[in-house]
Amino acid sequence: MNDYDVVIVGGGNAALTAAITCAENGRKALLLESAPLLERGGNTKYTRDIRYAHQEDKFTLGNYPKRELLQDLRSVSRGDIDEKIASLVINESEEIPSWMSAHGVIFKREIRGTISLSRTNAFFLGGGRALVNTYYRRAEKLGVNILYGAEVQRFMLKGNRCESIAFTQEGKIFEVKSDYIIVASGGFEANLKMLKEIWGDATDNFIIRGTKYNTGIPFQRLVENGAKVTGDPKGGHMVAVDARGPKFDGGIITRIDAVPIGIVLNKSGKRFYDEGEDLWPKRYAIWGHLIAEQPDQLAYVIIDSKMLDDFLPTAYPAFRSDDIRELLLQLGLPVDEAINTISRFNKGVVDGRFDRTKLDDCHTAGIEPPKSHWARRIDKPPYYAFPLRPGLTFTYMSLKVDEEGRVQKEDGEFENIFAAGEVMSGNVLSRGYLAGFGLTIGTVFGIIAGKNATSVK
Amino acid sequence: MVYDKGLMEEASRQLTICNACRYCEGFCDVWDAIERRREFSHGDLLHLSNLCHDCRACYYACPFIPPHELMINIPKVLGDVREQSYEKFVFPKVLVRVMRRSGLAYLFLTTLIFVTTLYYVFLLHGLSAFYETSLTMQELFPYPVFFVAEYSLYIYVFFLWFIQGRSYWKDISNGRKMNVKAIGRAILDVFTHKDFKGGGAGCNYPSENGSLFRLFAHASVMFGFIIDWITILFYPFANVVVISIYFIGSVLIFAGAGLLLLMRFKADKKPDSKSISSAFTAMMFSTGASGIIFITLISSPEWIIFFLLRDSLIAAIFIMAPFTKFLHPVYRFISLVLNRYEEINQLS
Repeated sequence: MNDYDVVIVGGGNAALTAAITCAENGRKALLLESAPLLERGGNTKYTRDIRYAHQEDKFTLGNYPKRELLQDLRSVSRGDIDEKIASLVINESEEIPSWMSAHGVIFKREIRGTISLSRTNAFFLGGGRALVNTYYRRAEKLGVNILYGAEVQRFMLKGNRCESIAFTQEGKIFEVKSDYIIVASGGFEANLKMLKEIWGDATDNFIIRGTKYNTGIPFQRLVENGAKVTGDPKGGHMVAVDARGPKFDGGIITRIDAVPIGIVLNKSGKRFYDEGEDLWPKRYAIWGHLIAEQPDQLAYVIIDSKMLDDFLPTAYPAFRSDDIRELLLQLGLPVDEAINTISRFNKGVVDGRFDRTKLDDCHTAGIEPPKSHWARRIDKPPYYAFPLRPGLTFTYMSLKVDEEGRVQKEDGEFENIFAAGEVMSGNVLSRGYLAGFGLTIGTVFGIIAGKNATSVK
Repeated sequence: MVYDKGLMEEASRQLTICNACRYCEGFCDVWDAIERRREFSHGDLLHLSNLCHDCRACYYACPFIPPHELMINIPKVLGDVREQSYEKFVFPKVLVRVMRRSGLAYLFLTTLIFVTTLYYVFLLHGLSAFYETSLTMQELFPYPVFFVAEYSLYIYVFFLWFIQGRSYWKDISNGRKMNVKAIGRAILDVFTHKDFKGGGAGCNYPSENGSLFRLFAHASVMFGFIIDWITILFYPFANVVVISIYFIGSVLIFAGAGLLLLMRFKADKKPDSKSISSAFTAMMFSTGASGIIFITLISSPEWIIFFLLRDSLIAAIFIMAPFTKFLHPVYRFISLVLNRYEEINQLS
């Protein structure tokens, strides 16, 4: 007789939807969250909207056909997606908001400043932590046993079956037997050692936007036991963040939206990529990788006073000076080189009608790299700058799963181990990102894993 | 009064971070007001602090509360600023000291008035008035006496509230003019308790579990108070109907204030502001209780004691109105007006 029917490893959205599904099917479930109570909820804490295919509905401002969602997914990942699993997520995504509503989540239709997402994504009141609180309350009510600060250390396997699981809590070791295991433990973005093996010393200059509890230990243990890996090791959600932000758990607040408004210089005072290539929500997630490839993984976005109100306010104040040379000195940039870059940019600007809500006609001519849209001269003092670093939210290298969420091995599969959420997101996409799609993958596979861990016994 | 500069800087630091996040948009009016700004002046901070109804939805929804190094705790920091806003506009200034000891001042005033009125009744009607002779209300308090006492208190309170409210408006409004439409909407906000609903998730006071208990409790006190206040205007015609309505008002005050005290006792202490005091709520609770008792006892001679106690409590509440939590309707209302003003002018 086992202690539990299902043990769920993790404490974010995927883990909670799986736990709730198990409990609603009458199963005795244990949820092991590695973070303490006040920091529970994994990266879900840092979300606030979910992308799903839909007709016109009460959660969004328009319809979003499955076809279009699949097309968007292909486009951000440049075709590199698992079509079968991606289509499964997209098909199932339709049901998500009603499932969420039924489990206590409140949606709000009108969100300021996110016009570009309000058709495709549904926003929930209070963001991810409120969502997680709602789910935890629901799971508790359903009788799920929840342990905090519980770190999984080992999976005890017999052939392709996991017989029991060992975890530590407050320095003590525990072992629980369970019929099924659902691994929803997130990526490994907070495991600096693993990152270093992939990225080398550049890792020291990364900022981890995600939770510091995503150390990827369960993922590593399963890989050691023969689990099949999918996805590019360097793949991940990586954006440009304020270099002054916290090393871990900066979440949304270190985000800098000034990139398409101004120009971005690297440490040598040179521009290195088209800042105005496309609308910001479509380019937001490439700038982390771009900066990761620059010397010392550092860059600066520079704007002038006419641009100050054209992006969302920042958590940290901008560097500021009436004199551009003085500003560059403050930043520690090679002044002559940077001035040269800026004046060449200014000369290259072709005047147009600035409109940050669409691909406008303010562009440059005769400079490399170009700035294709929103190009305006940096010439109206005072001047401002923000320092940028790569900010890693979560990693894509994942456990390979089948359509039932069952974890695959190099040879065969684990009979009773399922995966959901970021730990298997690489099955759907391995580069680029669509805002709000991480939650979609987590919710769809959380429910699938929860169902499959209860259907057969 | 000089601001606590450290507190103001801390509030501004936290709100600047909030403005970069904005996940709390939709919980209450504070979040819309934050999003209309890019920087936070002292006036803005006072305004936001009084727009905040301490529902704490934002605290429980925030991924950056301690132990996170960003140490965000909006209900606490705005609560602390709110206390400063009460102190800042106290007129005359010396009474800040009274404000800081409102519990003691309430006790002293209530006792003083109670003893004085007891003594006055004893002088006029003899000791037997308290256990034997059943005096009527009019015999006890002839209307002209009551009229003078009541209306001089109103004039005093509204005069000081007006002065304080005007300074407050000057500080927060940046020279904007009050506007009828905004005032009308703000009145509706007060009556519907808009900011007690957590944008649909319920009020998270006293705990993470959202509910509408606090809305009902506060509305109960507020409407009970308004009912009793209107009934008092009919004092000379006191009859069964008027007294019954007055009784209902007292029950509402008693139940609502009792619930609020209970919630305060049970509240999660982490988002509590430093100098929060329950004195005003406790006074309202006692007012409700003594009201219920005196009306219940109205056919026996002892009613007088509780009637005088009730009136002493109310007199103390009014005398202390410009120096206690009783200021909150003034500043909250003014901030709701400014908020509606900004909303209207942004939309058009």
